Amino acid sequence: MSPVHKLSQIGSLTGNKIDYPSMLAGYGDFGALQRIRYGALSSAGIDITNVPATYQDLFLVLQLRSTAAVTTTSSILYFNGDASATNYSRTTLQGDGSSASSSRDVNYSQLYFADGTPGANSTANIFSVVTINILNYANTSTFKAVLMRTAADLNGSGITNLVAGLWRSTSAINRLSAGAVSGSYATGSTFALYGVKASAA
Amino acid sequence: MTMIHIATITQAMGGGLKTFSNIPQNFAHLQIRMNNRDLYATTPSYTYMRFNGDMGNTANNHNVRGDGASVTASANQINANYVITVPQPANNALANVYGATIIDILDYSSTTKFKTARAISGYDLNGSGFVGLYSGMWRDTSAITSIGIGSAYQEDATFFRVDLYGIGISEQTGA
Repeated sequence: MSPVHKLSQIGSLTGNKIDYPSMLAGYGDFGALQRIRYGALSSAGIDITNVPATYQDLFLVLQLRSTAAVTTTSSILYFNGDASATNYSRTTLQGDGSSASSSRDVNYSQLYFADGTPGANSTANIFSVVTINILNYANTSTFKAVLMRTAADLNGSGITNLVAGLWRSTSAINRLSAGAVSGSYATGSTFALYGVKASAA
Repeated sequence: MTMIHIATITQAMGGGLKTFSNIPQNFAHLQIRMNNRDLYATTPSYTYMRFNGDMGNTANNHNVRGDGASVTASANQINANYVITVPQPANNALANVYGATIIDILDYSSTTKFKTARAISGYDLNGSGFVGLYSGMWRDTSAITSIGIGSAYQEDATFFRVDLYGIGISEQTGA
């Protein structure tokens, strides 16, 4: 059933105060949060093309596990096919169960994320959970800021982290690509890409 | 669950603290999504948030953040007059970089609870930057009807933008 929204005057414009738009029908899914693409991850990862420029932000949710014969691994993310120039960097905040740390990547060719994703040598059935927010992704005057949150607990080890990433390009993001650093994504890995709208139109 | 865009603040609205006012009370929670950068050359700069125009030192806040080399935890544990403060790039930072911040305010319309907000926030400048977890409490049981946000040095960069969303728990009514 489509959501029903009330039409009502709920604000006014005076000085620096805001006039709220009527909450019109026309949203789908979860209102301003709308699914663009979702499903099971292929072993190679994702390569989402033709991302519409009609949202304010992008929100990517993933569950990840690698087939590589390692305990943990990371993933890489890049935009618009840019995977060779050194246009990516990140600042991280991470806890590993005994200490907190912060690190930095500078001038990378891809954006690393989902550190601590379990591999084949980790306990079965465990997947890392990752959320990635890309604000103002379609703006053609700003570099692209990315907030990435990872949870990967392995019952005796694991990490939780928050990462601020940067793609030094003013191009609107129209393509997202991601894959495992080691091995391939295991069966059960999933993804969902949402757009966050800033209006009902 | 329903997420509804309520309103937007932009740099075009001028300097100083800008206010989302007359916030509708029919949502369960609020979310703020922000791209922030200061117009002044002071590193780091900060963006502040307060509720209902309250400047009466009725807030507390904590944070843990990393700067790429070390982790720090700090707090205004008593009598702060801002609920959340997050760092943002200043005007002398790498050009075209804006910070990213997401703030959640749960049960904002309750009249029996103090209000807690949490935020994830960060920016990277390809050689410097911050990323952190932030929380704040407003020691007031009043429903939140307005939220003030702005840069510490009173001027926001060109693409400074704050979007306010209501989070409903009923698909049919948005309530």
